[in-house]
Amino acid sequence: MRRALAVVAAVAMIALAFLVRSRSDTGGGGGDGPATVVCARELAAACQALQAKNPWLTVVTEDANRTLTTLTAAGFDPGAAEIDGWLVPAPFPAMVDETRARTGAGSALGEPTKVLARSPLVIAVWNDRRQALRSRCGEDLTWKCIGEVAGEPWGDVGGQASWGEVKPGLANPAETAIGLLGAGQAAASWFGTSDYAANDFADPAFRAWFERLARASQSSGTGTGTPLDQMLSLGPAAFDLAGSTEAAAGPSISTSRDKDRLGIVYPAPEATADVVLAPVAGSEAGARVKRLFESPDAAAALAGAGWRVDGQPAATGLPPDTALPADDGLPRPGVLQALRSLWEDVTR
Amino acid sequence: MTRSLRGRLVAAVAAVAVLAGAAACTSKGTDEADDLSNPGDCKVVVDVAVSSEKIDLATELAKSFNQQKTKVGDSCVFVRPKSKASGEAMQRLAEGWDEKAEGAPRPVIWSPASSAWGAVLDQRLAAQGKPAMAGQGTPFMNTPLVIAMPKPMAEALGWPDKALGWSDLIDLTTNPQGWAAYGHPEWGPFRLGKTNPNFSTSGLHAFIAQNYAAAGKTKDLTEEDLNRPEVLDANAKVESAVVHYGDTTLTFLNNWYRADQRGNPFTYASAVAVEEKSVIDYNTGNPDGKLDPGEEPRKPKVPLVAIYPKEGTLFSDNPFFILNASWVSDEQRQGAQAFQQFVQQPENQQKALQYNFRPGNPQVAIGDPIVTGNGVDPGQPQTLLQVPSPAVTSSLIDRWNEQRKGARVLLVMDISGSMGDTADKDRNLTKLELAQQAAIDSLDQFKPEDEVGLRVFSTNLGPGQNQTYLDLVPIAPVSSNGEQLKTRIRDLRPTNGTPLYDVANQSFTTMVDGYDATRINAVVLLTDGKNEDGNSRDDRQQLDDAVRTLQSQSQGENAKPVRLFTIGYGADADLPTLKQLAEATNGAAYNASDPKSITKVFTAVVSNF
Repeated sequence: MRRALAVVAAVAMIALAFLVRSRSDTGGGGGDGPATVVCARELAAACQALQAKNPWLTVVTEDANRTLTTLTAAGFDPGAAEIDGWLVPAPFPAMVDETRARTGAGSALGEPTKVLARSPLVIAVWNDRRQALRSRCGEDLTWKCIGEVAGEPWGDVGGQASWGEVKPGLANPAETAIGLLGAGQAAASWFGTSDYAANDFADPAFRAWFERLARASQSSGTGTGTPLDQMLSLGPAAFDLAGSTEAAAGPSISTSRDKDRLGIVYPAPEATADVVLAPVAGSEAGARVKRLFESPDAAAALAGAGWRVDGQPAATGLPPDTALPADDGLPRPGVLQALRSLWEDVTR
Repeated sequence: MTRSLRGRLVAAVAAVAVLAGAAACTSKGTDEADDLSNPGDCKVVVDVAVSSEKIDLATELAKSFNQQKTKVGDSCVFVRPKSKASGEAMQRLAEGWDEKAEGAPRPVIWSPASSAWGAVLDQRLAAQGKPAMAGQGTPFMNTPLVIAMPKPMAEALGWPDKALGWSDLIDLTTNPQGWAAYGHPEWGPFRLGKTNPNFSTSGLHAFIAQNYAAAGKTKDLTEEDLNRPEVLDANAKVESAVVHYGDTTLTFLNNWYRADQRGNPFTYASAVAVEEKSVIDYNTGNPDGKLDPGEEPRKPKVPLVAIYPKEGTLFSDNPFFILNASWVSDEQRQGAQAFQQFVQQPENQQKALQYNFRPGNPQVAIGDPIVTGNGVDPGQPQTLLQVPSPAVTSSLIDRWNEQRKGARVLLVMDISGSMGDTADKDRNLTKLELAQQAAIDSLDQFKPEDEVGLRVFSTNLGPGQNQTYLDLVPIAPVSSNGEQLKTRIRDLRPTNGTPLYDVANQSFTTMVDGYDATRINAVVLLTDGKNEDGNSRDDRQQLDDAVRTLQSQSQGENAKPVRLFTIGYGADADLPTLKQLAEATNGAAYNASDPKSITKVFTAVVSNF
């Protein structure tokens, strides 16, 4: 019975693919002119792959917070917007809705797609650093422990003095999607649950821990590329470990010169970056863009860029059979916004 | 009077840039885009400004890329790299890049040696209320700043078993016994080579690193840190050990190599802050990183080793900035992105290794020549220093101008008759008039405490018409004699012959006699001709005597190092002889054979102080 259902589903998907493809080739419904999609920087590769097959699509890549700022600006008029959709991890469209609702502004975004792709939030860590941290953090490396040792001399936490201070890397949550989601996961590690609230940030112990992690993360590296990019390019001098998505870390580490020195940890509590496409409210091309990103082409592009997509093979460098949690394991969107503000406060 | 950072950057390293840029532009005059002067039928031209150390690699890659005829829309893309020193390019971009004045097109891609320059550019634009132009670049290839030392000297300090850093150098600097404290009195005091951070990325990185080390930090360097007494004190100690500065590390490496060939590399400099790639260049017998026609690499007798400072270091990451500038079209941007992707391809990144850089693409393994056999360690560095905020970086540069070692300089100018020849027909200016203006401008680059004097030379000078030189302004602090210097330079008039050897020798001796160990002691000698003192029969003997005198005073642990920096001015200058004289003192010879370049050359010369 299962097999029969699977066959039916497959046939239906193929039929849908033909339909969507034929619509996208001709411009499809909802207008047939050009359309513009803003892609969060973490999704740039998938968007570029999709653009290559769809000349009518213009892709703009920028940090998620920049788009969020645009969409929540007082003068933003969705009807006059030059963008038709936003491909980004799921909490961000909800953050836009919440922010605009608070100011009494109307919706800037339409109903997002279902989750198109997922990627576990991971920690890329040099093997010798991982080994050295076992004495202090145990077998299971967590952000809670990383925050506790951040900025300490390695000589005091089981490593070599020549490694300098413990240098964790988190991209800036005030700018990037991965940075904010990573901070959310890190805080969940400290609280022991993702069900925490902004008023919990008043706990002095949490604040001290978070400040240590944030300051150590923000103060290292060259500022060029993500912390993982810098680890890969410059070696352990840049960062000892870095928060990332599996999508970014898996393929890049597996093909890097340091693949034998660098590993990936899936820290508890599990969390994922779940990707959606949110059309801009009132956009004529919004529905067409939405269909494109729900198409098999988009699924293949996302999977090819390292994201987990149902029905698509895992990209090179990813473990093939990783079970993903039921939800994204992150706090509510409003809490993430508060966490971003806290990060800015403690690193100011 | 203050040293003008702007002025220094304006003129700066352009002499090198002009030469390298010219070298990159040879015309075949065909319709084919097969060289870098003629785009042929390619309509999308992507001009690239790259720092001078990678112009050869960038040119090689551009030629390969251009052959592919990559298309943007209906047209192919043509990439055209030009050499431009990082600091100077930053300044030009901050000012909007005047193509006519610059004689070079505005770049679509800018690749300075370090991302720090991009941050400084954006900060300066922000100060003008303008949007960022550089943003975040893509690293092209990497090389860390290291402290290069002759291997026996590093071993005397405990290397390789002991991790060394800036703090060890400070200790050695302040030790009155110098190298004798380490069993080597024959090496004399500790002597450090560092370049001028206004022009040189390694100079900028070295100054950042020494400030971090003094502050005991690896990140978050602040203005408050820079004001801390222990930081100021440490800077004073480090700078006190400096041999001289300059716009490029190549001067140090070339001088070191020559000293090595003479059998004693130990007393010119004990350590020089350079990029890792320069250590490999040196140890493979190619100290300036390029082989001139007929040259073959000859390994030094005493190799250098790279000390990766235990306090941490910085990388030159050679980023590609696709500029967010009004002059960059969408097509050029796409073309630039295509070229950027091209240079990141593994087979092209492999070429970075051929030039002794570490590939920026992490897929390309770091291997030969980044190996211990070449004096470097691919496993290092272990700690990276944070690039300070653009505001702090700018402040550091300004502070260096105040904290650098003082100078005691005798400016020796040729006023022979040929200096009256016309050099700039458009403005109807003679060689002397151009040199006068350049010399006057250069005075603004000294700090008030620097001591400068003026000597002119020709034949038949003085009341009895029997002198070869006249001291017009005695050596004194610029704060007291600056206006007098300008007036006397302005009043110079061309006269008779060119008693070059005699004056070089006597000027050097004058400075040795008044040697001040707390300062950089130097002679800047400008001449447009060859030795012409009315008696050509003893020229050979005079030159030999002069070189012997200069060398004998410049070598050994007890030498009083007075550097001779020569400027060969105009087409008739005797450049080989000037080079010989300068190198005899471990100074450097500068080429201003195009008289219009004299301002830039003067600026480069004064960057040594």
